[in-house]
Amino acid sequence: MRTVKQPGPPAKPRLLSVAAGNGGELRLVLQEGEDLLNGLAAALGRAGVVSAAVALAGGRFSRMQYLTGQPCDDGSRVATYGAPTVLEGPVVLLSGNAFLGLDEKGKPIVHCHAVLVDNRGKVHGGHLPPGACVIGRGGVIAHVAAFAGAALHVRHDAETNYPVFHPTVLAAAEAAQ
Amino acid sequence: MSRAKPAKKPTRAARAPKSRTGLPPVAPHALTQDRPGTLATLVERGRYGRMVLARVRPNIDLVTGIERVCAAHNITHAVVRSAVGSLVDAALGYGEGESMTMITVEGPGIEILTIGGEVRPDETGKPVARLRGTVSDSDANVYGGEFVRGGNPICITLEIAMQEWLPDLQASVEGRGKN
Repeated sequence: MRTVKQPGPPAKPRLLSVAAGNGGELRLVLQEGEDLLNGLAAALGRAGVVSAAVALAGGRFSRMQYLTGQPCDDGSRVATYGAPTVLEGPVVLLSGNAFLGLDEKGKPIVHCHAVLVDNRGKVHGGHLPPGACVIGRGGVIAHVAAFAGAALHVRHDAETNYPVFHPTVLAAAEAAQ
Repeated sequence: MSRAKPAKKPTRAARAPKSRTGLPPVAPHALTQDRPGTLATLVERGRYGRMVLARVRPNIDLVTGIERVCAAHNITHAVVRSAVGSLVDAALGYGEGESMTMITVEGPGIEILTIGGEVRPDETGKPVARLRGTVSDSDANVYGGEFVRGGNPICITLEIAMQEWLPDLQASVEGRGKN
């Protein structure tokens, strides 16, 4: 197995994990015209969900973009994103995974990767950015497992030089928000 | 960006434990066993338990990393609820038996698009993950298969939510015939 040298020193422990309570299960149908990531964060915010695991069960985009990784040449990071691939709809969402958490300012943020098929039948997939994936006819279905007493928080990771989700145990006051 | 490699034989043979019920023995991964015409539908009743949220740091293997997370929480049975991350390189297997093929998708920066799968205990009770899914490379090509143990080092991060599955003590077998 090939390993790569990261720009920062290896942080310990190598595996971070917390047990989360069951904060409820939800099924969402995000509607045509909404942006996927912003719509997901807004809908879960209205439902009182702070942090959650999301399985995208399918749907359609009227237009969308995704990003894929590539080696980073300037040495500041091991990998970076290339230029976005822009797809005109209808684009079918085959499957996807996402997490809702909090960014470094405490605002909701969604990290989402998905598999798609374009209007000519070619399969695509990558990182879906916020504000660039417009939901199409029929909506997008999401199954959500909300966390209780734990959340994902974005923190700058010196090892990889990226802001990354970290699992954290919530203080009682935060969990009640 | 990818190259075919010769098949690797599975290193972990699934041996069926003795049946306590007089019903056909239940292998750890019965549904993947090649026993045409002899499989009955395996029904395991149970319920979902604890959720574990994890981050796996760079250069840790995807499959063994998930097993170590489960072991740290004394979880032997679990399903993947969601997973987002990236790999240095991806090693994916497809096919079966002698015709099993492994492809390597070279990164770094291979995006993990989806992971589906579960964790079940081996004969000694140790959690063993079987994970399948899809990845994309820097040219936006998509590949799928079973994540090969020891071949999928994390690049930047893996975020994963695993949920414990708590089976009732005795599995039952429902129906018979060809599956």
